[in-house]
Amino acid sequence: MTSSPHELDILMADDDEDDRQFAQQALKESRLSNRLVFVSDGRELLDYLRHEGDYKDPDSAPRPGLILLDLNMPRMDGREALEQIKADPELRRIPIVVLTTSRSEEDIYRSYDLGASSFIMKPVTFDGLVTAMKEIGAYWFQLVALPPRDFT
Amino acid sequence: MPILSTSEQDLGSLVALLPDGDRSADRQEAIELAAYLISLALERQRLADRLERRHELGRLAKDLAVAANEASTIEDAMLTAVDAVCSAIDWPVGHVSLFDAAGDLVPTSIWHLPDAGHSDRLRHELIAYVSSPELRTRLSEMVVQRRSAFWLEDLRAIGEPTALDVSSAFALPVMVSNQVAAVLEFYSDRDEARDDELLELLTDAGAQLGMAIERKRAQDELQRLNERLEASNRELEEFAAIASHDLQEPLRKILMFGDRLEHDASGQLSESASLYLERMLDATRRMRRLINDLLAFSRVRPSALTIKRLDLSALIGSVIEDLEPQIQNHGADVIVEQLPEILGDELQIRTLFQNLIGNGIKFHHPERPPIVTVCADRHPNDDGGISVHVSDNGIGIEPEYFERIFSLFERLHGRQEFEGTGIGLAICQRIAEHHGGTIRVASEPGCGSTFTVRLPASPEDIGEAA
Repeated sequence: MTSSPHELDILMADDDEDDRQFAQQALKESRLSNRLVFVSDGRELLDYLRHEGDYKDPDSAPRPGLILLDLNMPRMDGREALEQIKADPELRRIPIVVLTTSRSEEDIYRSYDLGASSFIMKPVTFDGLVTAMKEIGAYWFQLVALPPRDFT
Repeated sequence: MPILSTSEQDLGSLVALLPDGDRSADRQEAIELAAYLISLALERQRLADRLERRHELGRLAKDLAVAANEASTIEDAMLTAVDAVCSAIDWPVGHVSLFDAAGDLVPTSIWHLPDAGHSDRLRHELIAYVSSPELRTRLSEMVVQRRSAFWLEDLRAIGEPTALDVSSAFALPVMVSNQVAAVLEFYSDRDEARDDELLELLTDAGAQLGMAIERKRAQDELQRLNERLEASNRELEEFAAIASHDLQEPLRKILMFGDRLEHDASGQLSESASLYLERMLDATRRMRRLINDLLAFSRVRPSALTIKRLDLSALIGSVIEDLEPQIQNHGADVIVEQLPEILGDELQIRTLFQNLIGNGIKFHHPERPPIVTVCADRHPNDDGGISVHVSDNGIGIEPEYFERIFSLFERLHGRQEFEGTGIGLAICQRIAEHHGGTIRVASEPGCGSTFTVRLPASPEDIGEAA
């Protein structure tokens, strides 16, 4: 059975509790029906995607349709997580949007080099964040054809 | 019959045994002629020997100069010099001593030894010999006294006897900054006559070696300073990166929560509370701009320069395209005259003129629309450098502020009058300096200002500045 784009999860990797809350509220305000799930660092993100560690039960961690990835995180940062996901044939097709406070050119070049789909600087107003969420949803779950996947 | 040189110097005598006792004038003449021919032959041989020696010393001088200039370390230079002297004059042992911090002349491990199989024992004995207090004291005294190459006499009286049985020795002080820094010592087991020609040549070589050491030390010092500078630059860059993330992060939160508060609780706040909130958020936004501008300023680094040939006309053309909103807004007119090619970093030169032209539009006179002109000329002294002038018809600047406007966060106007943090011209000056150039202003208050950027012609000048 193939799931509809609106049922796909958005997986957000961000160590900042406030930012996760803002994202959740902005998603609600943007009227996207997708579920937003969170992990708090690169290590946990890989565990989630590979069903390891706390996520051994595949039902607890369904494959997300899109990953929102912060770059600066403890344990394993977003750069390394990005590199590992893109090197993994099982995971490499999941689109990754880097969502970060970094404005360094090096991070932008490097993220694209490692295979990120987009690079977005975290908006500084809540309205900005709601707009960003709306546009991310409209682009990735309406306009774009995501790689088809079977869910069992 | 004496044999005399052409300079009447006595070379020896010719004794002729004449069995027949013929003492005729003819015989006498024949003997004189023989003595003369012998003197010529002898003199020729001496000249040939001296010429050969000159050649040898010349080669030695060359070898020593090469050793002094090409060695990668000071120790290498000394070892090569000792080897060169020993093989040129065929002496078995050479050694180097250094003056230590306490002013004592201490033996080093730099040796030239004969190839003989017993060199380990020899070295051992020689170390004991050259380290003996008698020799140290004598050498040290003479070095400081003479300051040029000298023969060491009466050696048999000094130190323990060695397998080499030292009979002759000479020493060569190496002068660095007019002080004896090192001594090259040479020992032989043969009785060698004092050779003034050799001493003179070695004194010169010692001076060269000293200069090479001085140069090498200066280079090492320079490299050390460079490394320290690079490390401190890296630290600064890291600081900028940390500041960008760690300072902006809490600031962004204040803005986000303030923003939420403004939207969600606007109905519940009193009029003055809403005003306080608004002012707080204004101040936070300003702080955010300051941090961003400070980061923009710190990113203008010499290490990030990529110097290439730039078509200034095309570059200014695209700057004007970027400034189109401001140009439209103020009804500005930007006139660009014929501009040359320059050498520079594209991004930085772009930022430089974006700031200058942007300022020309921003600081316009309230009674007339802004007109900004960009033109260029070659330096009058024809060093190939270029001056680019950006002129406006704006409010102008009082002469007393001509220097201050280039300082970080320096503003001449209230925030209500003109927005901005006062970073633009500080960045401009930094960019000009990184390109080996300068930036100056000329202005008539109420009439307008002209900013002149002088840039050098050659990339070498830019490299030096960086």
